[in-house]
Amino acid sequence: MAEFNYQNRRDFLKYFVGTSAVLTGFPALSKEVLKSKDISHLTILYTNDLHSRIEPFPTNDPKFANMGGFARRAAVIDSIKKENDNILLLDAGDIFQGTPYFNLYHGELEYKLMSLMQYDATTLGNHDFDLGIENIEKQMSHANFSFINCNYNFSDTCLHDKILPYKIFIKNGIKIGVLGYGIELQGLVDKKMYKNTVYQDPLGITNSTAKLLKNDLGCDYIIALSHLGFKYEEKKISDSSMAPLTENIDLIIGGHTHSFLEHPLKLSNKAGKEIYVTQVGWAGIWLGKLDLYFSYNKKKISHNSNNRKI
Amino acid sequence: MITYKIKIFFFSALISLYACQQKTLVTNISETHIIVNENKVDSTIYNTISPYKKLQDEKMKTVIARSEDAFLKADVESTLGNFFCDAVLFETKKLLGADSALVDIAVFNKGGLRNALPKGNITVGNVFELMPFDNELVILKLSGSQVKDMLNKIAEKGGIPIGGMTLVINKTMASNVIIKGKSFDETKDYWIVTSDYLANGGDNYTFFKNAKERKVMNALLRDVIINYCKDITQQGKTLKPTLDGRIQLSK
Repeated sequence: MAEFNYQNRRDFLKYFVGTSAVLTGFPALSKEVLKSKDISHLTILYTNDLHSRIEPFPTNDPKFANMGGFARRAAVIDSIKKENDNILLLDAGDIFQGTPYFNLYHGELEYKLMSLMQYDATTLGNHDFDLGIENIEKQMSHANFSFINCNYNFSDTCLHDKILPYKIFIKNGIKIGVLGYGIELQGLVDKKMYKNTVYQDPLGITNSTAKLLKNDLGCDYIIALSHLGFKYEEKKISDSSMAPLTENIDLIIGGHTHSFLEHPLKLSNKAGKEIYVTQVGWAGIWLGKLDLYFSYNKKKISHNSNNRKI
Repeated sequence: MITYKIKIFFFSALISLYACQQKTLVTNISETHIIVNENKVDSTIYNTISPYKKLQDEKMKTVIARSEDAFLKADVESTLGNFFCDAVLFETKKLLGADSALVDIAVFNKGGLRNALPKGNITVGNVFELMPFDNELVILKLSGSQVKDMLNKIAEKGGIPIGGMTLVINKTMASNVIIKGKSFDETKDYWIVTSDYLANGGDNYTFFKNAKERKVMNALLRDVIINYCKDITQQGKTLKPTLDGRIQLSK
């Protein structure tokens, strides 16, 4: 009898240890497994620092000739949607500024196109304030995606009821919590542009927001849209320095430093759990893609395996 | 037998507790990035852009100069930074007319120069992408000690776009500073041309904040660069990227 129990317990441990091994990156799952009802496949697509790059870079551009462009990115997204329509399309800020489209139309076209492309959410970058906070409010009438930020206090500004601290997206039964935070504006943006927006240290607010999303609101996966920047030589908060101090966040989609990361950086958070930090350069030259496979209905699997083994 | 049942009960409770807390679990992550350079376009997006593009092209396609090669950003001294500072200094002197001897130095920031300039035709649109901000030209009178602070900040940053002076960076200190052909004199005041953004302390350029005097030139930085391109073309010349060793790292 003792041996019987031991066997069960060992199988039990093997099962869960096995699952957590998959967590840290197992080879691609087989097609049979992916088709199983117990697996949900979510594709996260992301951009950062689009900087009004509506058209591809011109053919005479010394660095990025013939790359990027909204109409092409939309075509790429269309083709990905044909494979998997369970998609979350996100952006990490600095949509505005960089081409004459912004000088002439003040961001109207950027927001219109991102709405047509069915972006789900963005956060605010410093350059989104370049024509003033009122301009953000004005152009938001062209946007049907969410603006997410939890560390700017907008209560004394025209954006007081327009920015969400977080948003929950339910995709095929999976609850995805998305929060956002931005960089210190003082010294980077003229005060007359950001007016009474108050910057608060992102770490504490982010951790409490993520805890709320995880523990109270039952999110299965938490994404941070960050405009802090990837990494600095000087002592300044960045995605790389903040990630190990966070809890409950699974993925940071960053911006600001225009960092082209070949692969997301895998770090350990405060609780020793893995957290990914990613960023895809700027101007829509790259489109980031992260495929997540969730096993759900876990209760049934456990129950089955339990029955079978006993 | 009783022991067995208890154990099983405990075992099941553990599973249901686990199942309750973690109803879903990430089982696999795969990531990639897609380089957006295919020619296939989404027609809805393309058609939405078209009317905006038409008007933009009318305003931006005018060729204002020709360049012999591309102007690029770089870490210590860059062809783009040199071009920008020299152009601003030239046009500022023109704007000042009789007082042109007043300005000594141009100082900008790397982050403010937003895009490279291509080889060949330079259009109004190219200059908009280089300087998209509606920043204005400002001249500042700094004391010798304020200039010294600025020079050390330049060294600390490992070089930034400058014009009208040369210096050697010795770790985080500036040395061998020559301004208008003369060694830097800490007892003298100097006039510096920059943008209103930096003059207000933007990009943490705190050394500009307490300038002794400040004059707003009522000219957009972008227009100044456009005028410089036109001036060079009018002289029958082309733009030529140059590195002249104005910032050197000590060996």
